Amino acid sequence: MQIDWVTVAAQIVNFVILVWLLKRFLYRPVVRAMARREQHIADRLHEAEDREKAAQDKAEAYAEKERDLEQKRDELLRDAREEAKSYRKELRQEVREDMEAERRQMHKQVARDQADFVRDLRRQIAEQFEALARRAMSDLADSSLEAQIADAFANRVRDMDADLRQRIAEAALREDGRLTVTSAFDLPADVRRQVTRVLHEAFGDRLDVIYEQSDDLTCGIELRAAGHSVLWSLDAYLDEFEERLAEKIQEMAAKTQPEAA
Amino acid sequence: MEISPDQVVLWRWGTLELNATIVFTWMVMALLAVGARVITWRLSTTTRISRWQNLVEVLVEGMRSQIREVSRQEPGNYLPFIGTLFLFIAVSNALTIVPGWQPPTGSLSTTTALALCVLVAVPVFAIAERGVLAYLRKYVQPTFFMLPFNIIGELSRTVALAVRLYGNIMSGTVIVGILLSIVPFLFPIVMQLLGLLTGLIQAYIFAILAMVYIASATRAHPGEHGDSNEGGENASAQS
Repeated sequence: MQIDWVTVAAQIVNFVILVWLLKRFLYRPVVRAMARREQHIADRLHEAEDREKAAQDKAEAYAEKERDLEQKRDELLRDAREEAKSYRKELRQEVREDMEAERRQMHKQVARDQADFVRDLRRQIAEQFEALARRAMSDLADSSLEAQIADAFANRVRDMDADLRQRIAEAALREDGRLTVTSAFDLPADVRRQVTRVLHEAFGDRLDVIYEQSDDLTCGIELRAAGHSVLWSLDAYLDEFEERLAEKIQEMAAKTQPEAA
Repeated sequence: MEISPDQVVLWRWGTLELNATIVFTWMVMALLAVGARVITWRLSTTTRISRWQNLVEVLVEGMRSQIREVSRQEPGNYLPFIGTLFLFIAVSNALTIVPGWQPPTGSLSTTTALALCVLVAVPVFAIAERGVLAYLRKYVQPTFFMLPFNIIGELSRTVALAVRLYGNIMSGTVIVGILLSIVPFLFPIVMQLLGLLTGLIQAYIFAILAMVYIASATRAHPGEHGDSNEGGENASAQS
């Protein structure tokens, strides 16, 4: 066991050289390659993370969009439903109004037809009655219808309240001193005389009696003086007749309506 | 019987002698350097690597992790020194399975040279790390009277380092030589295998101890960063 110092020195030099050689050819390149690979892997991991995050963000965005779409769809459906509902309501209302208008129109038409019919009937009845009455009067009582009507009119004038007669006479005198007698037909001279006499008796002979003819009166005589009027005509009878007739029609309509229903 | 390869003179020129120790050292150096150069000629930085690259990466990373564990520092500066110690000793010892191989580590001159390298490396690393004063102050701690003991300790552990490696390797070679003359078959092969194991363990111990010495010197207070001294003592105990 001995130490050769020359060899020791040589080995030290050898060792230092070996350190340098291995440092240059082994450690440095290997460590660098490993570091580079680690960096590479870290980069890829980082990239993957970024990509995953981006994908996640995108997925979230899509989910959000889907939610929005769903919400929008729900809203649209709700709106459409409400619109349809209101439209239906509107249509129903319109139909109802149309029906109501039609019904009113029909009622109006019916009423008009009824009124026309009654008026026509009344006119015809009046005409027929007048003719009938005229013939009956001349056949039975040897008297004209005009004379009978004049009588009836004279009776009504006589039956008037004395105060009223007085007021009418005064008013007529104050105004123009006239009494106007209107009839539906031309009064014969004798009937005129009789009427004039009755009027003079009732209102005083200072008043002039003037005769006029008008189609408005239905078979009757009317006295007009200073805003007052005394009338006898078939109108009252006809009104009553019309009233009864209308009642009868209503009754008949009421009877037929449930049957029709 | 020749105990040391120093005594095997292969070539002589005047007073200069070229002994087996130096020649076999050169062979180890050539093997390591050329091998390293060939393997690291084209290193891949992708995840697909050759198996040789894989081998050196495992080796280098293993050494780095050992250094990191012992020193609790980044292995960057220490790796070339410690790693070369380990690789040189390990390769020298492992090649004893080659017939006629004279391991350079079986020469006291080589182990002394390596131990001297460690002796120098300790203060060099320590001063580079902490500065001259801080390093020198370590010798007068805990008191000034400890100075001689500290110096003796420094020297004795260097001697121990050298003699431990030399003794182990030389004894292995000598035992195989003796056994060969007594039991010519089988038993020497078993001893050879045992010697291979011992050689690798010695390489590990030498490198780790060197690292422990450097680590304890580069630290402000022994034990400040953990139990590296304990690790060193454990390693010594194994030898």
